[in-house]
Amino acid sequence: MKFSAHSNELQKALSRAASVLPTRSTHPALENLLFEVKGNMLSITATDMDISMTCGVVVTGLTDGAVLIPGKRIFDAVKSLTNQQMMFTIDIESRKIKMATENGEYVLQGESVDEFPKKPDFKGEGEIEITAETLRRIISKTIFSVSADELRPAMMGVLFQFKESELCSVATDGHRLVKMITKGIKSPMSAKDIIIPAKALNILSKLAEDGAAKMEVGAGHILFQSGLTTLVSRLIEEPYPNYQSVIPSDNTKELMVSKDQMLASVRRVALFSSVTTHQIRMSLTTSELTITAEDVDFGSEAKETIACEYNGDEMEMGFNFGYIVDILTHMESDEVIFKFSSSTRAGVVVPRTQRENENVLMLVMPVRLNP
Amino acid sequence: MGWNSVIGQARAKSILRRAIEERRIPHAYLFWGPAGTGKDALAIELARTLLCDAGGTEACGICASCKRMTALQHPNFQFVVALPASRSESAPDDGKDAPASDVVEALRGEMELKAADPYCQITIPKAAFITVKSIRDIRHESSLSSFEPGRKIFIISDAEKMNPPASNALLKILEEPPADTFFFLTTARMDQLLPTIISRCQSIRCELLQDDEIAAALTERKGIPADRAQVAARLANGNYLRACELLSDEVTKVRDEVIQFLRDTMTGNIAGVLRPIEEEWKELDRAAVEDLLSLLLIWFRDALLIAEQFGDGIISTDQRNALERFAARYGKADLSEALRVTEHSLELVRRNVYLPLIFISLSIQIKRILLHVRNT
Repeated sequence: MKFSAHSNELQKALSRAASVLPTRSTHPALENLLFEVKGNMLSITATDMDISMTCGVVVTGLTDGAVLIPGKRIFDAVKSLTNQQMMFTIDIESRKIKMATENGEYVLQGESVDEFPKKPDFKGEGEIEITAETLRRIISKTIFSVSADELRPAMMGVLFQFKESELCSVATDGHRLVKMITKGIKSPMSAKDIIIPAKALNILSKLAEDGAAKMEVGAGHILFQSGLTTLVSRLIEEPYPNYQSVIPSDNTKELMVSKDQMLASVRRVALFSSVTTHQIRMSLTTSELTITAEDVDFGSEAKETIACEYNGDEMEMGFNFGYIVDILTHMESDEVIFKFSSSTRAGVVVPRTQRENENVLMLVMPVRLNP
Repeated sequence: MGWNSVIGQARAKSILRRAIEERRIPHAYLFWGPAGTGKDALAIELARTLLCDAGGTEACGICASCKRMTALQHPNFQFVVALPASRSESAPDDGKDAPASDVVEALRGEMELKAADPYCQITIPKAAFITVKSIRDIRHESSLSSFEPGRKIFIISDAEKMNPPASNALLKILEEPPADTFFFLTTARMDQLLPTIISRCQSIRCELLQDDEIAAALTERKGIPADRAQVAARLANGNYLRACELLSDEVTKVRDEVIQFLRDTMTGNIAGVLRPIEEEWKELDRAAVEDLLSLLLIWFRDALLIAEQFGDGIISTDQRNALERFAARYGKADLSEALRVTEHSLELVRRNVYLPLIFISLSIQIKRILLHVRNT
């Protein structure tokens, strides 16, 4: 196996692949990167058994072959090289990897490719048309409310419901929920629900470059391709909670406020809230929204009033400020509408104007206030 | 390879084989029984068989799955053991950080040993509990689609080491098991498991191994000469691990001490009898004393066999000459009575009687028995 590659190109691919490399796995082979040369294409594969990523690099291939190379060492080595051409000579028998650069020669000991887990056997059910930009947008709008509770794994990912020409993505952790419908995403499957783990989505959103992207769902796996990089992730195979039933439809008390104004207020007031409960109070009247917080332990309290439009009875509600901040920061419209029914039932939050081809709905649970 | 990798346990094997044949494998098995009887070995072999690509009742040993199982590195297989508690373990919601690198290093080494010999005991320094982190990892792993198509198998070794949060977390998984996922628990102390966990597993009892099964395994796997293997097997009380430990030279040394004790008893060398009792044996732990007395039992048994002209069946074949001389002198004595008093002494050791007293009393009784009949 022999090839020559440019250090910058190699470094780009390696830094991507290295993001998947597991630290301290019980499978020693996973700390390696799989280098495969076929013609003028070098593919570098890393996997942590959940996510496999293959990054392609165009090289000058001299002899084909495959070998495992210690991931961290090669990444650090290539990173410390300046812009130059590198020549790799690998003896498949002894798995000695020789790298020749302008500065000198380096030798690494590799492993046999048999040690590496086989690539998942991916059988796609047809391509989904989605641009990298849309995907990145969906991920950024939903991932913040994914649950971290490992005992309820279904909620540790984002639910993607593919319908004929739209995609409904849902994320919740039991306290808040985001539902985002994106129209114009054609999928060959008429109705397919998958849950993509948050970890894969995080890597995906960094990976998705501009331009063409390819997404494909297969039995138990999802494949995503952007440029020369392919990512295959396992899916969460658990029933997703019935989120439809928790979205109230009879919330008639509507509160409309300026997003930026409310966000700034909540952030300031929250500084004075209890560090254990993170609780803020919202008192609603027809024209004013009063946000208060209190920390009895440290004797601090805060109160701010902002203008609003509210059409219901006067009401007082408690919220975890973190959820309100999260929701407001992920809203794009200038004004947001909160819809309530009572102080103990879930509140729905929507932007005043939805973007074209998009429908975002968020839901937040209030906390019960002491009378 | 195949079920032969498990010593003995014919009953358990036939139950498992039948379950595989009838395709009625419960989602959780609990292998329980005394230490060293091969609970882990059974669980690993069952996992290997269920993961084998050929899909028979016996692992083929040549398919890719079997090959990776040989190193216990199959992606759909996880072996869970006790790990040292990480600093954050006390904080209930923070069990996410990976174990320290020295633990991972130790675990890798131990897993290699375990892969080479499923009977080997995994010992990681300071590992007291199976922590909730390990069980959460199982939950995470079992919720994802399998890396490779097929079944997912988790073995929880020494399941009694689970701390209460871990037990409860596992219980939650066992209550609603994911499809095509199997949990094999092994334990030597079933009484320490939650009854709710036990009731959600099908229990398979691993019985004590027969002496000849252990001896055959020692000869076959470790190349131990048959006579030494016999002695070790007999002393091991059905515990294969113990038998392996007993293979050290220590046993021969102890046996020589026992023979010397017997010789001193019979020649009336009271100083010789008392010296080891007062100086060395007094300090031994009860298990070691039981070994010592068991060696004496073996000696009398062999002597009895020779005296009754069944010399082919003796265990200590390397001591044949000495045994023959012993049988020639005391053959007419009531050797079965000597066996009985030795056994009685063993019983007393277990009842925590003062050790020197047991030995002195035993010495007097043996002398009386052996001389009594000889004089008539």
